[in-house]
Amino acid sequence: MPPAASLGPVRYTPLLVGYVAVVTAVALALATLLVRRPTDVATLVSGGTAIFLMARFAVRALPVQTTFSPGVFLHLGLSLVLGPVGAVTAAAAEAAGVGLRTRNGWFRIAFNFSSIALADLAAIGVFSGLQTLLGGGTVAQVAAGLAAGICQHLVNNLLLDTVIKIANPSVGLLALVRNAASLLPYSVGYGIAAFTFVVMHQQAGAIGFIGLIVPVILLQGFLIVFSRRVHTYEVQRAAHQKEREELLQKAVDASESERRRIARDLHDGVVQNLAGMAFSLMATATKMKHETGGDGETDLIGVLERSAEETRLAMKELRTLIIEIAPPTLRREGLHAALLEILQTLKSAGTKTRLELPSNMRLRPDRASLIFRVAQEVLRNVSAHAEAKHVSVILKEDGGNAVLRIVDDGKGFSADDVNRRRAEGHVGTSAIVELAEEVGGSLEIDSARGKGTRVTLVVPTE
Amino acid sequence: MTEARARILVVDDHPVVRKGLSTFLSNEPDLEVVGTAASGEEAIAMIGETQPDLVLMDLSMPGMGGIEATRRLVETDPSIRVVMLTSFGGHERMVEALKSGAVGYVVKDTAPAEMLRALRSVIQGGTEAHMDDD
Repeated sequence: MPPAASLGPVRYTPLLVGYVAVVTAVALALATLLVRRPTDVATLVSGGTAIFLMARFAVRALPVQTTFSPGVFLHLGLSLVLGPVGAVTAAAAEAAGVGLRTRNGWFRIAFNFSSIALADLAAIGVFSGLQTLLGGGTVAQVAAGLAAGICQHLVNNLLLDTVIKIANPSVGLLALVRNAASLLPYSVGYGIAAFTFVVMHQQAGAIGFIGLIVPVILLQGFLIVFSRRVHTYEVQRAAHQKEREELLQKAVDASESERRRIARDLHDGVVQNLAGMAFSLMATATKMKHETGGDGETDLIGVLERSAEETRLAMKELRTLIIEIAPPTLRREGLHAALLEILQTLKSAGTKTRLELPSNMRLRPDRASLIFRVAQEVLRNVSAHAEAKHVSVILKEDGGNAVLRIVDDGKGFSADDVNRRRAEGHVGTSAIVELAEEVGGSLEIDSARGKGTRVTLVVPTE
Repeated sequence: MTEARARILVVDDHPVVRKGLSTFLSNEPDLEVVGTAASGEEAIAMIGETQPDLVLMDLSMPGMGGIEATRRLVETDPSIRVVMLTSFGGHERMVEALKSGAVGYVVKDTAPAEMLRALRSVIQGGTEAHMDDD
């Protein structure tokens, strides 16, 4: 797994430095006053090591910012079993482990140590106080453990939320309280479990304590391995997805480039030859007409004239085809000019047209090409079937999307018409819907007989 | 008295178009093709020798395209009348052609009679842009 992201630099304000200094000073003073030589070094070392390792190798779930470690459970247990020396060792081990994992710097390490030490010392106080108050017995000890867990949670969160609020005043108080409340049930459970540590340690010393740690360590180890495997899988899946997208893009580019090559070859070869032939045929017919004074060879002259006309029309058809497969205007002059050109056909047929595009809109070339192809297909249908008096083509930017609206007041169509045309093999509309959906966009067609048609295309601009 | 025929220089990189267009225009009694050029550079070189009234210039040619050749011709002789000939329409390119100094813009598949009318109009001092279908 990649290393954890650094938390970024601390913005040292007098208030923040003062607050952390006071918390640290109080923690150090209490530690100096309360810590005594440990009665059980084996428990102290094994507990401290386990806490350090669990903090250092916390379970990182995806997204990577989410981490999990039941360290609180252990340092509460160590504190209740060994008293202040356990609390201070646990706090040092936890702060060092987190520090190494997140590379958060000495300032944060000092604060973490202090807040955990104070919270655990407070928990010891509550636990001891309640035991004295309630006397011995299992129920009393469970209640004391539970109260210690809650106390540890409240003190730790109070200190932590205060430092967060000082460092970042824009953080809402409610959000902090809500977050602390969401973690309270865990602390209640940890408090009860910490009581178990006390009982086990009383019964079997260090072995009893270690016996309780082992399953927790094993569970955390399993979770770490599991989360790493999930992460590796996610990385591989993302790499495959990227590779797939790149291949798809290459295929689209290749198809686009092949279309341009065909269009260029047709334009430079066949179209020019047809143009030259049309002029030559017409010239020959005119010459024959002049030479015969218009009386002789009328059949032949007619054939030549018709051939010239047919050749010219063939050139015109080919030109339309070339524009369709690789619109030269779109490539050379941009979307506005290309849309203007396809509207020209409707305009010359007497339809009033309106075109609106934002002048500063930035579009990827493949998105411009998609918008053009959709407009081309829709306007071809308007031209062939709608008998519209007005057509408007409006492109707008909305958030991160380009929204194309094509509205006509023609005769419209029903769902039955669509199905019938599809059965006849007209798949142009389905094709543009698929094209839009492929890039994460959508295309909606709203029409009814006699009520015109409104087509809305939404595609991400990036 | 016979009126002088308008002198036309045909510029196109495609030999079939040059030949067809020159033959077609030469049939007209009031038009005379005084030369053909296969590129913008060749057209500029031939201007002094041919002294055309009208240059029929292909827009898209290898080397110096029709737009640049027109710009240079008009810079040298502002009275020269150039009609841009193209296989494709397109509002932007028409504007570009007219900005370069051309006075006409005709698509190659324009009907012959319409093309002749546009050329005669330009010869007589008009400005023509013929992009639409018949």
